[in-house]
Amino acid sequence: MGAKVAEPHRTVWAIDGDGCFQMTNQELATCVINDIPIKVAIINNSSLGMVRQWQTLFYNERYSNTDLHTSHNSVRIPDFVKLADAYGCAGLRVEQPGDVDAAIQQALAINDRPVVIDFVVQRDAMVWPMVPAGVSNDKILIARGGAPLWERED
Amino acid sequence: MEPHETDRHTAVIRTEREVVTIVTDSPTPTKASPASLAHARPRPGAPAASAQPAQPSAGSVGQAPVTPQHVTGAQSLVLSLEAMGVDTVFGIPGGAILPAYDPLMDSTSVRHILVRHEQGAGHAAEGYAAATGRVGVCMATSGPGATNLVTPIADAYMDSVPIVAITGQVPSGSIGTDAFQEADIRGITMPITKHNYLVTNPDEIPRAIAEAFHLAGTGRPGPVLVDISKDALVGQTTFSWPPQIDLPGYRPVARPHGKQIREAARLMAAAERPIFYIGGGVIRARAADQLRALVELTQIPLVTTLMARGAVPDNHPLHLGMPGMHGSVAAVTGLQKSDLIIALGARFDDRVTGQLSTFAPHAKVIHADIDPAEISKNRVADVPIVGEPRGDLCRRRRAAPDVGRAVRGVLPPQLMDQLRGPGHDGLLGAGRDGCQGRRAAPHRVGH
Repeated sequence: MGAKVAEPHRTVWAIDGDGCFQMTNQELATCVINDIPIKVAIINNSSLGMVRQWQTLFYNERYSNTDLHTSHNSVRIPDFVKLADAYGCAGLRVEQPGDVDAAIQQALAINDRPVVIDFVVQRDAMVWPMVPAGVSNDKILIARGGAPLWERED
Repeated sequence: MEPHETDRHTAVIRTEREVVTIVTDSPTPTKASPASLAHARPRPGAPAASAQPAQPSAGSVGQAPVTPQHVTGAQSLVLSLEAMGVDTVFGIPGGAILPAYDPLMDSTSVRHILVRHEQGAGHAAEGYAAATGRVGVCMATSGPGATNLVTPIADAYMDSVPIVAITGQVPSGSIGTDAFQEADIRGITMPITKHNYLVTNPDEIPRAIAEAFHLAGTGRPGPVLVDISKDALVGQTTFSWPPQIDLPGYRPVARPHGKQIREAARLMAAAERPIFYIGGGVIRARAADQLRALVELTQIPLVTTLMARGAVPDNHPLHLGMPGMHGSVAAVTGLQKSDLIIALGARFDDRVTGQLSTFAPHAKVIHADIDPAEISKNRVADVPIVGEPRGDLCRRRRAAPDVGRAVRGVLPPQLMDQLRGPGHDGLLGAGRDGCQGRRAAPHRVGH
């Protein structure tokens, strides 16, 4: 929002998770009322994803308090498209990879109000690569239990 | 540059490094009022080398004096913001800050944007500052209004974002009595601000504001909080500008030492596997163009941290990706296997280094940063360079032609193609499934 106010001629995207978006999403009202047409891409895994990833890897998949009920099993609390509409923004939802480009094109074409896109992703999607905490960067992983295959050298 | 005297009000402000002329298109004021004191941004092409607005340095600044005027503290606050060239304030009014909102409503140069939570105001000020390099401004009332700014202030502190937070405070006679909506926001934000002020005398307002902007926007940028008591806002004062500011202990280093630059260039020429480790300081210094030129000249690969993404586009042929806990394999390995890390505006954060004792075990380190406290904090620097990255990069480029020739001879172009080619997704692709069958070549130079 602040960046768009400073540079109104530039396209400004906020890329949020469903968790962090809910912490400040009331500012959509500020954006609509003050003509600050930002674009928000919510990567919605219905979770506090980074914590959930650590629970998957290091806590035996015991998911304590990381379930946000914002998309999984079509439980949407809140429904981000309805939320966007309630604030006077354009709300879009994408649930298939093939629809991503079209949604982005549609968002780029709307410039009179903020656009919120609910990109629904798998709850268990993980962020890779990853260096486990507190170990050497040489131990980088690119999949669960998977290190890159290094060429033998020397 | 001669001040124009006809239809333009010109302020010439001498900063530590250069003379910047701020020219406004409004008519020469006959009376100091919020509207007439509006200052435009520095024009592009003006002598300023920096895109930041000029800030008054220690001591009084040379400027056409404003006719002193009897005003309230609140009016003095708004006049000061206008004199600083502020065009946007994000905030929410409340009891203690209410007097300031009245003259704010009449300002024709300061736009106030009403948010829905003070945290939004603080983050918006940060976004404004991060996008432009100008100091972002947020405003809130006392008590819960001020404490709602704590998260964005802490964020600005951690990410070195220049913002000024202005908060109302209960009347000075009530401070300490657990008054209505009272909070010791100065104490609360002491560890997370570059500096903060409690103003109880309206005469002090212009000086506090000028100093706050100067501290926020110079040296290592950061948040500064100015807490103003309600009686200071309603009290009578005489507004004059510019104020005398006196910060004898604040001397940010601007020019890096020439000897260090030469030593750095020497190391760069001799290295076999050098790598640029680019951090947010390059963005704060608005030095992306200079960095790009240095990279093109030396043909040394680079990584950009989360805070520096976009300093050089991700698809640049020499860009290995983002380093760190969730960085690309190429970037992480590039640092691990390097024999020379050229750190520019970066702080060897734990997300980047992982376990420090095993981070980049073969690398010498050139560490250029504006904050001397960061040099050798996490990783000992073989060549420490303290100063503004912009000037440093220019001087480095002038010393670097030999480096360019040397490095270009060592780094085969085919290797860069290999590192970026589609057949090596495991090296540069992030998060692809399956590592079986993919051979990921570590970043090697000279083979």
